[in-house]
This record gives sequence, structure tokens and C-alpha cells, in this order.
Amino acid sequence: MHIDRLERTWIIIFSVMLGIFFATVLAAGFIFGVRPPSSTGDSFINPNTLDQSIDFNPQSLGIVSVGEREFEVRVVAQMWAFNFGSPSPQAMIDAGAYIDRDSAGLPVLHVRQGDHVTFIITSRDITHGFLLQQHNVNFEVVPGHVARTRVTFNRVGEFGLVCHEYCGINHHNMHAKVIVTDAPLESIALGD
Amino acid sequence: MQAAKQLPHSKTHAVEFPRVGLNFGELWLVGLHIGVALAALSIGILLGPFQAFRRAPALQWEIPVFSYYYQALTLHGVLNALVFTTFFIMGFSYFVTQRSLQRPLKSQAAAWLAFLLMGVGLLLAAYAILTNQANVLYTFYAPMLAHWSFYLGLTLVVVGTWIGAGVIFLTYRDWKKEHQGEKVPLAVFAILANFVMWISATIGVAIEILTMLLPQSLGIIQTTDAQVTRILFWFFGHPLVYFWLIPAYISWYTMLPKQLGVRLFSDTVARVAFLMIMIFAIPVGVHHLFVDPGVSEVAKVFHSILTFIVSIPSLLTAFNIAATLERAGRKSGSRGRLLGLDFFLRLPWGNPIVVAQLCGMMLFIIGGITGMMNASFSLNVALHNTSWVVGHFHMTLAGAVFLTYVGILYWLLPQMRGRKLWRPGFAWWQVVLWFSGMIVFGLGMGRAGLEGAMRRTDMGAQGALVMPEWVPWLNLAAVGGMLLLFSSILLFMVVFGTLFASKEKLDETEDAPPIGTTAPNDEYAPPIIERWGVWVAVIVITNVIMWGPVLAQAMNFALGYWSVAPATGLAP
Repeated sequence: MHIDRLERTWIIIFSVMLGIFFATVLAAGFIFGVRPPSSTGDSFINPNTLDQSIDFNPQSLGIVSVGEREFEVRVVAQMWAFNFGSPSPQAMIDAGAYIDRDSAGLPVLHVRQGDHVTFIITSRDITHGFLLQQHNVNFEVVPGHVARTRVTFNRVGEFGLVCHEYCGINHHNMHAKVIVTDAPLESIALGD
Repeated sequence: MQAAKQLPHSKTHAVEFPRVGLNFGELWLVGLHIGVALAALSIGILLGPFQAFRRAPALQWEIPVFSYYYQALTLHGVLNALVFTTFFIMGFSYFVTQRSLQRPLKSQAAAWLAFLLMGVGLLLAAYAILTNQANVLYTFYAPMLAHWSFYLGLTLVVVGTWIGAGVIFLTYRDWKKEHQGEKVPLAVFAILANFVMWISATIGVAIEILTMLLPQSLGIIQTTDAQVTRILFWFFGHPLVYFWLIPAYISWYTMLPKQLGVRLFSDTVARVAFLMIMIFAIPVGVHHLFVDPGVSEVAKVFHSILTFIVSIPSLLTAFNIAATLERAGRKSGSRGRLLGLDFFLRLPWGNPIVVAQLCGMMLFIIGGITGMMNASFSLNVALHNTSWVVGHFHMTLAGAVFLTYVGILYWLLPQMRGRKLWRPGFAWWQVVLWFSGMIVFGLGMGRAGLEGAMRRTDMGAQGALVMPEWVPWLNLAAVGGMLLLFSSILLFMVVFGTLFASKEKLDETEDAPPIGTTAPNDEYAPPIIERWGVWVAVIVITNVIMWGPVLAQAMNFALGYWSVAPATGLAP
């Protein structure tokens, strides 16, 4: 089979190029840890009995501290809201990582710069999306499966957290916010 | 191009094709396919800009007629991406097969049956969407459920394409019997590769519809599995985009050289590219599921690798077509200035048919690069389901594919009435406006997506979230939409003008359809390239390996599988 000399050169060039691209992708994933949430084999859950489950019963939703500046946030996505549970207790507000509601009644997650948060989320009804703007948090929330991902908040600001998978008439109203502050812990603890 | 009567084998069948214009059978069969495609497009295309206007904070206009955003979105996707493309591709494939092999289809009756099934299917699906009972978007997964007529309609459309593909395969088999040891012309080779891929791919969506969506919409089963339907859909979903792309490649590889008066640089490498698309288009679909919780990381990495491999045929195409364009530029006086790139300036930039294809290619370069970014396992976390993705596939589907189809229409429509293209100047502006509009739209959507703006969301609705950093880019996308709206209006003016107002007759030599009837006999191609059985076996084995574990892992019969109830709340 005849392949032109120039065409051969081109094939070598793009093969090297694709190799470099793929090496970069693997480096980003496995050295720098930018990995999409994936099945770990034990991620199944029955969407009809979430209220009786360990992770997603009404008491376990919301934010908990699991270590030095290390938090877990459990959320149930449902038509058409992210259920972050009831407002956080005073101890969490004192720790600077807590959930309250904005004037429209939508959940707001407050954290401090440098906090590490693992989101653990599932759906009660239909497939939803979960995207935190400008952070590596982006997944499909598929009923029957638990998705989890860990993120470090390096930037101060207000970030939109949205459902990105069309889920019915009020899909566009399904969102929340994350507010990252650089306030030192003391000033928050003084209740100021 | 040669007239039919000069070919030695034309004695064995009665049909002689006219040098320009269509014969009676073609006029109806091809004409009706193109007609339905354009009718669907006329609604689908207009709904696009109005979605951009609705999402732009500066406008927030309500969409006319289809005020429920997600109904308009479903129509835009189904009419443009499923109906326009499928009917266009079937009509185009019948026409090219007949003309290229210089023989009629094996069975006109079967082709008509296929058209009838597709037409009835279209009406059934349209009924469900227009009555607000199928607001499930064109990527339909459980547990979102549409009216049963939507799924039955899509099933009939797919069955119709299978019958049409069968007619083409049989026509090829008969040709092959009379042409032992000859290579089939490249255009037909690509059509065969396209339908082998299409039939393999539609098996995924057929299983999804027949075992899950249709029985559930009829109330036969009560529950379903959301992750499994997503997997089955994307078994089909990625080859679907190559099903759209291959006819555009046929135009670039086999028709553009004729329109430029040169020979394709390498016929054999083109065949290899089509084979690679056919084989690698399916085992890459997990790149649409990179952030799904029910798919393992191993599967994601392997599908990511294969996605990089499926870019190889497009990179081969880039060289082959560029080298062919260089020949054309040299013929019209290029001297290798500007680092050898001045051939590009010497192409016939005044011809709307050529310009449509060239603009499509330029958009495809952007589409290809953004596609590789989407395919990157780790980068995808920043891009999945943002408006970036919409920007990407408007470079490929609404850019390269659509503009090339428009380029084809600009010579195919004149054949229907035997009259020249009406107002080529309008056609030229239509193409250039579309190209510019798509660049502006893509820039707006892409950048908004990088800032985290999601796709498929009615951002003009009360209570919807619009972050300040999205605002300028969503507005820019609406500016692009405005240009695209003007271009669409021009397109339909040229279509109707050519069909009903054009007076000048087609020229017997220069207006003949640009379809080759022979393969070059001075280029050696290994015979295995045309052994379809071997490649079908390769497709089956690759997909069992690449998709089997993904499906098996997603099915947990104790917990996940069949535990999800259908969703309501899809219509206002």
C-alpha cells in the first residue's frame, strides 16, 4: 500500500502529538488527582429507601467535620432542589463550615479558604447534574448510584452550584451557592 | 464525467441516467427525502437562535409558539440532529450509490417501504413532541418518559434506515458480481462503511427502546434503570455523530476534487480513514459518561484512549484534503509563497458550493480540537454538560456537517428542476454569515461554559441562576444567533428560489453532479480493505470487549437495577 513520504511524516507527527496529549491527560488524572467520580464497585443504593439509609437519612444530610479542615457534605438531589438537610448546628457555624439559606430559600454552603470538602450525593427520583462553577466538581447524579468527589477550596468568592442535567419543568430553579471566605476562624467564632 | 452509455456494463440494465437533472424515479425518491429533511430543518433551525435569545440576559425573549423552553429544545435537537440528518443521508446515499455504480437500486419498492416507515415514524414522534408529551430532549434516557408514540416513531425511523441500508448493500453486491476484483468507487465505499457502522450502533438504542423505554411508556413495566439506559444510549450516540459526518467527508473526498478539477491526493488512505471511523466510532462512547457514577475509571481511561485513536482518521483526512486543495491552488497559479500556504488563497472563493465546504472544514478544525479536549478524561470534569459542549458540537454538526450538506444542496437542488442555483450571491452570503455567526456563537457558548454556565437550561426563566461572569458571553452567543437567523432566512430563500423561480437551464457539462464512477486503478489497495465480513467481526469483538464490562458493572440486580420509577413533571 502506497503512502506518500510527506503523509508518512504527518502520521509520525500526529502520533507523537496524540501520545503527548494522552500522557498529559494521564498525568492530570493520576499525578495531580483530577479524576472524575467513578464507580468503585460499592456505589449502589436503592433510591426508594434513602430515608432509611445510613448516608442519606434526613439526619445525616448536610456538612460534618471528619478531620483537620476536612469535611463531608451529604446531599440528596430531587425534583427540583438540592437537599442539604436542616440548617447546621452552632458547632459547625463556629467551625466556619456550615449550611444556611439565602433570601430565596436556596441552600448556601459556607466554607473557608483552604478547606477540603468531599461531596457525597445521590438522587431520589431522576437523573440530575451537580456542577460547582470554577472547581473540579462535576458529575451526573444517577438514581441508584452514589457519586462522590473531593475538592479543596483555594479561591475566595461566591460560586454557583447547579443542576446541569435537564430534569423537568423547574430544572432551571435547581441550584445553590458556595461562599468561600478568607476570614480567620477567630472572627467567625466571635459571632461577629 | 462519463455518460452512462459509454460504460460497457450499462447494457445489462435498462436505466440510463441523464447527464444533468434527475430521472423520474430519482426525482421522487431522492426529492422526497430531501424535501422532508428541509421541512424538518425549517422549524428546527429557527428554534436555535431563539434559544440563544432566551438565554441572553440582555434579551430574555420568550420563544415564539413553543414557549416551554424544553419543548423548543427537544424540537431543535430532534428535527435538526435526527430528522434532517437521517432523511438527508438516506436520500443522498441512494442518489450517490445509483450514480456512482451506474445502476438502479436493487429494489425501488424496498426503498419506498423504508421511506414510508420513516415518514410514519416521524409523524408519530412529531405528534408526541408537539402535544407536549415528549419533552425528553433528543438524548432520551430513562427514567424520563415520553408518550409511547415518540419511541415507536423513532423505532420505525431506525427500521426504515435498516431497510434502506439493505437495499444499498444488495445493489453493491450485484455490482461486485459484475466487477470482480475491481475496487468500488470511494463514495460508495464510504456509504457502505457508514451503514455497517450505523446498523451496529443502532443495536444499542434498539435495546434501550424495546426493552426499557417503550414497555415502560405503555405501562407494561413499572421501573427501570437510569444508568443502564445512559450506557445503551451512548453505545449509539457517538457513532451517530459519525453517521452525520461521513456524508460530509464523501463530499470533501470525492466531490470537492471534481468541483476543483483535480484528483484526490490518496484514494487508498481515504479508504483506510473510513474503515477506521467505522471500527472506532462505537467503542468510545463512554467519553459521554466520564462523570457518571456507575462507570468504572478503567473503562473511562480505555474509552479515552480509543477516542484519541478515532481522531486519527480525521487527522488523515486533514492531510489528504489539504494536499488535494494544494493541487487545486497550484493549478490556478499558486507559487508556494507564504510558507507554501498561498494555495489556500487561490481556491475559487466566489463559488458558494466550494466556500460552504471550505468554511465547514475551518469550523471542523475548531470542532476537532475542542473535541479532543472533551475526550480528555481529566479535562472533561471542567467541561461536561456546560455550554462549552454546545459550542463544540455546533462547530462539528452545525458547522462542518451542516455547511457541507448546504454545499451539496446547492448542486443537488438545481438537479431537481434542471435549473441553475437561484441567486448564487445570496447563497454565498448565506454561507459566510453562517460561518461568522457560528464562530461568534461558539465563542460565547464556549467561554460561558468554561465559567461554569450549564447547557440545556432556561436561563431566562424567573429564579434561574445566572452568574455575573456568564453574562457577556451569553449575550455574545445571542449576537451569533442573530447572524445565524439571517443566514437561515437566506438559505430558505435560495432553496425556494432554486425550486420555483430559477429560469436558467443547467449546463450539460459544467453542471453535471460531481460523482465519480470509477476508482483509480493506478493506486494499489490491499484487497482486505473491501472484505466487509472481516471488519464486521472486528467491530463485534471490539465492542464486546469495550462495552461488555461497562454494562455488566452497571447492572446490580439486588439494588440499582429496575429500582427507579418513571418521572413526571416534564410538561407545564
